[in-house]
Amino acid sequence: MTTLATSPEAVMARLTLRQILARRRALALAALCALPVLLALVSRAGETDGPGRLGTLEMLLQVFGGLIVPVVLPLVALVIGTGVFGAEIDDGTALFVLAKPVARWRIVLTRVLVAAAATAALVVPCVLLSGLVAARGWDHWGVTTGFAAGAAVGALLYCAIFVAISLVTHRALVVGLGYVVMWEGMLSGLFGGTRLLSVRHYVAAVADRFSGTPPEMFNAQISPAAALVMGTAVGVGATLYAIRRLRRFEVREAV
Amino acid sequence: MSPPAVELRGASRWYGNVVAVNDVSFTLGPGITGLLGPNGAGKSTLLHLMAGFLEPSAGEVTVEGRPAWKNPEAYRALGLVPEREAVPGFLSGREFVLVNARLQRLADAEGATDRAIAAVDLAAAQHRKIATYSKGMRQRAKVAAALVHEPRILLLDEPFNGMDPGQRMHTIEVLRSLAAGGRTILISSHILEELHHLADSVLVLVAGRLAASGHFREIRRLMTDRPHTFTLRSSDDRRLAAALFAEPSVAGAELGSGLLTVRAGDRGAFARALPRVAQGAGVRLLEVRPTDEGLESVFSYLVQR
Repeated sequence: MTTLATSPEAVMARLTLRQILARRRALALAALCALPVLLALVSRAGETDGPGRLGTLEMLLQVFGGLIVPVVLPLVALVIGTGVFGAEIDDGTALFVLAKPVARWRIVLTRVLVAAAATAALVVPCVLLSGLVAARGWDHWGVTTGFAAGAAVGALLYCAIFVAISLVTHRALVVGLGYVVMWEGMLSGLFGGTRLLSVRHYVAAVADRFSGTPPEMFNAQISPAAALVMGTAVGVGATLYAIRRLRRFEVREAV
Repeated sequence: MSPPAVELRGASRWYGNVVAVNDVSFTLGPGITGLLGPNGAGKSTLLHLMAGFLEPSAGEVTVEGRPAWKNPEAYRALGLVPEREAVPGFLSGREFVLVNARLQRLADAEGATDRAIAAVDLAAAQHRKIATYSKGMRQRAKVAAALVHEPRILLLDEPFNGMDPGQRMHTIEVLRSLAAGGRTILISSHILEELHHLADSVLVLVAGRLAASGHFREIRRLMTDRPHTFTLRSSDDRRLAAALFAEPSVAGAELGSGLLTVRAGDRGAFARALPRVAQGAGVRLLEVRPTDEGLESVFSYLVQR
């Protein structure tokens, strides 16, 4: 009998998780996520009372906006998102999953969700812990949880994008890195229009929306409503494109 | 009448301007069919076309009457054993077969896994990680995974690679009993003798084209009874050539610089005649070398025929 635990989706999810966790890169990613916590710890330990001392909010902003949004979140999502299909397609292991009467959208959706969950499972604790350290306790906890919500949304969107990229090119890691650095890092902030197509700005808008006080802490330059609409469109679009690519998946011959 | 298990009609596949499979047509029905061809002839491309992992550039490829391409439902009826040794090494053999059973949504996945593992004689090693398997064991794990849903059609790409003779015999038994049960099985190989006692009929693929098809025995006869070319060096090539022309087994000869090239119609008769002729003519043979024993030339003969 096919129950939930033995459904193709559950089987694929477990396989994908094992693939992500079976490698040394899981440790490297955990180390990357520990970085903001350590930096917050060091800067709090080393500071002295006086005019130079950062306020809690400024500190949070530096850790979240300066380190987690531009570096930790996209890199973790990049490695995990491009890894769920990429390695399998390169070495041919994907064949045994694809040679099954399982609709391609189920295969893509399962992997995007597993990748997003794994990314969030690494980044959200990193946000919460570094928030606790930076704020020296529960001060402004709402800002931290608001930002954690933004990071979770960002994990989902980034993973959808990176899964799609991994089904387009062999060099998904390089292309994905280029996208993070060039688009998210530089170009997206230049014009009003490009902000609407930037995961980074969606993360800021969601974080602002859920942070409560003070308003616009993360200086989001698009409204939460715009972020919701555009973020959904980007996520759905990337996933649909990935499904289309997988439907047309061809074995690469060793010619 | 139900549609044939697999049918190709004018199927071609090219990559850029390299043609891998060129206008191939055939149908497969119950029983074992061998797909024979040298490496690089397009056997894997042909199998992947049938398995829905390549889009035909031209023509049609159908499985039970429906296109193989972009049709995942076809995998209910189809089992594929790819040539590449791509199996997740972190799973045990049993886990791997069970995953395949579950992805097929089998009602009794555990039971089907037991049967498939028993069929390929892998029970003793089923709980070991695949990463620790020998090449032959991996191959059998792949066969078990392809068999687990008892497909009506089974495509195997070079399944005997890496198997020792015992494992090979056992796999042959399994495939034969499946064929006796009315399944359609296609086995690719680059070695004709591998298909002996196994394939009822053989398709010969050369440079992407279907060069010949027929019963195993017919194909073997075609391959052994073809003209052979030998390169000879002797103490007097001209005299030897003249003497050889009297032999019925010799179809032609050509004098080169210090070399005599002889085309023999019947290899066995020529081999028996040569020493006698040389002795009779008083010529000393220095070297006798068959020049075209490569598999490639055997196949290209079939194409030119």
